[in-house]
Amino acid sequence: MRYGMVIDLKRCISCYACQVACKSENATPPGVLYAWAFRQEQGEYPNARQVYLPMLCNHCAEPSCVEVCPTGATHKRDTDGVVLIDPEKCVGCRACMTACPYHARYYVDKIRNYYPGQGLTPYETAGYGRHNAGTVEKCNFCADRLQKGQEPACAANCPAMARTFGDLDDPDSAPSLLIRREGAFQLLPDQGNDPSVYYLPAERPAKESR
Amino acid sequence: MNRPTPSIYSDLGAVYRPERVWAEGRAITLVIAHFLSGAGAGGWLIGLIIGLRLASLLGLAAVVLGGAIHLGFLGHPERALRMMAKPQSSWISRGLWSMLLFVPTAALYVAGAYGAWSTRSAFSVVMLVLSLVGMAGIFLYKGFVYAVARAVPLWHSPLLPVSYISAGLRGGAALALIGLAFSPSGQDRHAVQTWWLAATAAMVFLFALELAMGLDDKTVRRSLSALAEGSVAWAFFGGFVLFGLVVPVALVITSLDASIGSAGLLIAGITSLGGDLAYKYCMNTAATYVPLLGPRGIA
Amino acid sequence: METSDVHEDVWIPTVCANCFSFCPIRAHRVDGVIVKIEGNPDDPLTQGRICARGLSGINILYDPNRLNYPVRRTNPNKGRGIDPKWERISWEEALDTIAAKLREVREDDPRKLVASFGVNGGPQSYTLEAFAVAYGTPNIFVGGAGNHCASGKHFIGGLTHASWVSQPDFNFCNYFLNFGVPVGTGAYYGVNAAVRKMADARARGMKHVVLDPWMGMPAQSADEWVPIIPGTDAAVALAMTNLLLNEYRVYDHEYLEHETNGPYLVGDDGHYLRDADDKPQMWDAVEDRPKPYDAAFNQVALEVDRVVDGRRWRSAFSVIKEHVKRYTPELATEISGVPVVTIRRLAREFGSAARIGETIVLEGHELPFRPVALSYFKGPQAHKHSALISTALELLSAIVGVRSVPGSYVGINSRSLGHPETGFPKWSPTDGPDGLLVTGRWVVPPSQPWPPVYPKKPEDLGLGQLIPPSHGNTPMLPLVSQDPARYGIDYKPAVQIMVATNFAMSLSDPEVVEGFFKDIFTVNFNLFLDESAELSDIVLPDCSYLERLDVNADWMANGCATDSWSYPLRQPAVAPIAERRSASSVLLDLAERVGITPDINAVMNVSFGFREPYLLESDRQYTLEEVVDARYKSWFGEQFGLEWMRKHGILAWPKRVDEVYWHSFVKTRIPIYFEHFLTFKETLEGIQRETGLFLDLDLDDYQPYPDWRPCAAHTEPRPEFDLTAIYFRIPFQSFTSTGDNAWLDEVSTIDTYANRININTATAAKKGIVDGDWIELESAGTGKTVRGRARLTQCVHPEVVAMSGHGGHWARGLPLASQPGKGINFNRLLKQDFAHMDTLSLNLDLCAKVKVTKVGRP
Repeated sequence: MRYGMVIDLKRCISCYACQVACKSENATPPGVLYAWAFRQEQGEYPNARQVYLPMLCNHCAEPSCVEVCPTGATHKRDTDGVVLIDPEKCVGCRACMTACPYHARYYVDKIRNYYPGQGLTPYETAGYGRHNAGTVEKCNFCADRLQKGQEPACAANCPAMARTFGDLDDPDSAPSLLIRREGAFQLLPDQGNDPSVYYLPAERPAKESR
Repeated sequence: MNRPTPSIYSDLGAVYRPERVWAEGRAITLVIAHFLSGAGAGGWLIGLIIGLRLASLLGLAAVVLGGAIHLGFLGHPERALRMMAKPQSSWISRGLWSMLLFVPTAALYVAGAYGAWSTRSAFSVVMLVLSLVGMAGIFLYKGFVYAVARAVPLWHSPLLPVSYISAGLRGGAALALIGLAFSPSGQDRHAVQTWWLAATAAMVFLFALELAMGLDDKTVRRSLSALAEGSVAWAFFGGFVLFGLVVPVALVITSLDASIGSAGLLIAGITSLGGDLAYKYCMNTAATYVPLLGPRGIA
Repeated sequence: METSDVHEDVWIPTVCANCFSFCPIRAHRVDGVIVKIEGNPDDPLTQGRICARGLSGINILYDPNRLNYPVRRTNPNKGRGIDPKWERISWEEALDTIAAKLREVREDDPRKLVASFGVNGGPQSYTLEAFAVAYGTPNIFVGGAGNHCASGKHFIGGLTHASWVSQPDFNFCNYFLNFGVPVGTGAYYGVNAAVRKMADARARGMKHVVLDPWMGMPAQSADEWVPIIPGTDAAVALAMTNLLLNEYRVYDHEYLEHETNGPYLVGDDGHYLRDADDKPQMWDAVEDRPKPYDAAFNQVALEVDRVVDGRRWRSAFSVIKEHVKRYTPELATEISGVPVVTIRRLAREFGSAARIGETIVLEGHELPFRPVALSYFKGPQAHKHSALISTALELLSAIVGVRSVPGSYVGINSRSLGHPETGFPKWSPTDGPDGLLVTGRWVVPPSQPWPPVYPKKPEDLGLGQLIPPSHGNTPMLPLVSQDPARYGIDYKPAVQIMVATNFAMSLSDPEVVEGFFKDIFTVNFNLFLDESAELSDIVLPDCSYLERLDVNADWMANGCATDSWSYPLRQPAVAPIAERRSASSVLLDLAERVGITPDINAVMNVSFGFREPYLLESDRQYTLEEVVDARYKSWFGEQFGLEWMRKHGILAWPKRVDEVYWHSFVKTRIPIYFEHFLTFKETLEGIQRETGLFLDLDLDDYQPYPDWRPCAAHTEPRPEFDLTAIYFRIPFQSFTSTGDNAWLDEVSTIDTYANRININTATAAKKGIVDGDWIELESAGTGKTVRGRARLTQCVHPEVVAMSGHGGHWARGLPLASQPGKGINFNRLLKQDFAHMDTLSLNLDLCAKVKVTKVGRP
């Protein structure tokens, strides 16, 4: 099994709900964004356009981060292809960060709170236990949710339903069908990582029209 | 509990995202550590070849110091030995193995050299051979740690490991210059000077070649403009070119004919080392990730 | 299972309050702490998916800057930046003080109470409204209404769609011509359901064309962005109307003839030519004579222009068709900057996409099929000529028959035929005077759009009685309050109760608003010590939406025009923290202390729609729980009371075809010609003559058909004021209420447009401005300035600077929001007088001509 995600850029409106859904699910400290949205302007007025890419760990089939990790903290789970970091093993050398082309990883030097000088909120107190200062963190496809049979929070919440999550090894899964039928692409294929996160182009012909 | 640095946020919108984790803030310890271990390995080798014991000793010290400083960079230094876990895939792991091999064997060999036992003893020979193996690992690993980063085109070059070996040798030669300054006369001055000039030439040549080969790549060009006119230009021109090349080259070439005093050798060595540190700093700081929207863009 | 370890892990269904959409949510509570907010998956509309604002509600609950106990001002000096020197007091002392003040003022003159609330406050606002009506004041205001809302649109929408707001029918629409509304792109009503439905429609192939000076949320994901000069949308719409009527001859004759007042005959004075019974008449083409509109006709003539007995008879449609001829595409281009070819293409696309004459069969009903929608809201219509713009845009819709039919632009909740089990709640548009549409349910009842409420000499501080379509609008409030005599009002306001609103940020120029606060004893229910709290006398710690029960947090039934009714219950997800108390509960308590319990009970019976046997008795003080129970039972039937709602969280059922597409099921006509505006005008002229007041109220816009007229920004003579400032909405900030939310603050930092002044790259280059420079905007209208950092972009019209409307806080109680660089206080640029307001809706003109200069620092 290989978990993966297809993000439809024609449906996406760049509303940042994925970023905040991820934050609220994982109680990530300030500046730590397992999910985030990249935006770039292209072209010139009046023919300008906005290109946006919701980002997360690509859970690559050939993860460059795993290869460089000296401790084995970063590893790819055999059962479902999810790339995980064992916080007990991570030594905080950050080699994985230099190896990742997708800006998926964050080094947590210390665990900051969101209201400076005002202590932890009850939410932060409840949620910060899962973070480890001095280690690298990233999206784990909401591993806890997967265990409960739920989709990752970003996919489950996306108001535009732009994210389709499932098993890429199953040719009949929803993401596999989209990849096959809609001309999905991976980011930076030349990097050789074979990401499990695919995108559908923002501009593509409609499927049906009455 | 302070705020995250603003660059954490601005980088998310950057087309060319700067590599920061091995360049900024406390990462200066990593830069120093990498510089020291390379120079140390070089010092060990050159000291052995030209028989300048002090150079070898300085080399060993530099490797030990580099390793210690390296610990300061880690998020969990107490877990440092865990980095031995993946020598089959990780160059960092291989590097740690190399250092752990090098330091005790080199130390035992040095102990022999200082008379604890004979350097000709089988034990010393074994120690010497093992230390050389460790040294070779140190020479190699550093460049590969960077070169495997496909996402950072400035580093991802087949020449980088070679160029980092030459930098190590130059650092070693600089340690030898310093060693020479403190050694009784009669040592082979010319050999040290030749080593230094050769290593310097090799390093500059390889660096230039590497950049020339990378010029096709937009991201590398971006890094180069950072070196040439951007945020690290001061370190590049002031630190590497002026302090690290012009000054010591002048001193070393001068000393080829008319002998300069110990002070001159010392200054040449120190400026050379300082330049190498600046070079290392520049190579880390100018690094930029490949843009998310690659050459094929998005549909 | 027996366990000694008490561990709590529950999900509580409730309702968001981070914007006026009120999406159903559920809060995850673990050992007393809310650890996650999600969309409520039981809601058929949002399907458990919510926006960044909603997800981050945890920070509203736990923000360490929340007010936790009542405070009283000890510094008599009031003003921006002046420390109120708060003193903590007990609830008992606070309520005693307030009740004494309210009793004293009421004995003197109850009109001296001002009640103000914010749109996000929702149900608490209704409780305050009930309190105010019971108290006897006409001064009830919605913070920002008329300033930052779409008053013209609401009013005209009520007349034409029988709804407060409308939405494209995303199920069938194929072509969406959008005048800058973030419907389906992160704001507007029913926000999250609309995002999903928009995405579905676009995946299906709906074309989305956006006219907007700024490539914001609507345009950035659209198929086409048409940049336009702010405030000129009506010119484009009128030119398109002209092309469709007079050149391409593409219009829905059938619809105009049978379902609009287009065939009504009008005379030279613009009024209907009524018969002896005062009924409007139409021309019978067969009998060749006029007959009352409700007579039996052989053939109604849509186009009439003839002289009989020396009297000219024209149909309203003929008048309009002739009138729009002056709006050539060339003229529209000159005004709007949209190229002639684009206007022509859009008109053709719009006309042909409407598929005039086609029908569709839904659930056995054959209905007109018009898969094209036209949408507008705050942006295009918040200008000097708001109502005229609204009528122009509605006209373009009307001529192709785009009104609450499949595929078109559909009124949200125009008609409700009730829950299948109980038949409640029930309302429907009906046929009213002159054969025109009457809304079934109107959000602000006193200003029901039809039959018209005519102007009268005002007693209220907002001039809502003078200009009825503006009821509850705030642009005039600070002006009239500070100089009531000038407006013929014989009292000054003495006390104000505010709930969930921040006038100091949301009304207009903070300095004008500051003056308004100076002489009013203000009681402020607030979550924070925000800008308005700093100008108040007593601030009471309100419950956030996660800590309280509400009467009806479902005013838009989740705001989707199609698919489903969805009525969720807002109930506490956690007990109130510290000394926080819900404003609604406190107001019921205050009513008792002031001695108006019978009055407030009577008002609630009407305003909350209570019915037998759930009507409140006169002299009993009810708890909030009892009121809520009565409300749910009254609306939905005995079985769906508070108990049921608490458990299930949401009551939803599918919308019927004859609810959604009500237009084909209710026999009435919809105006394209607004005859009564003339009557309004004549009435107002009478008031002007009689009182000698309001002479600066320009009545030119009181005309029955649309026109484009310039805003002050379009006629600014000084060349150095060369750019027009506008603001936009973003999907991760909500007005002035989320600035201190740390997660949203972080998103706003990451998004490179949200906190900046966005200026076209080429324009900036001419002015020597580079990205990140601090720049200053000076308003031509007020001479006042704001500063912010420039964001150079290709995504804004070269004559425009655009910024998000959320920023520019200064309150000490909002430390994250009040840092320099956190957005711009756009209101400082706005001039507040009749010359910068729509005199038909009191909508404030929100485009400000500015001069831009580079400055060194904040």
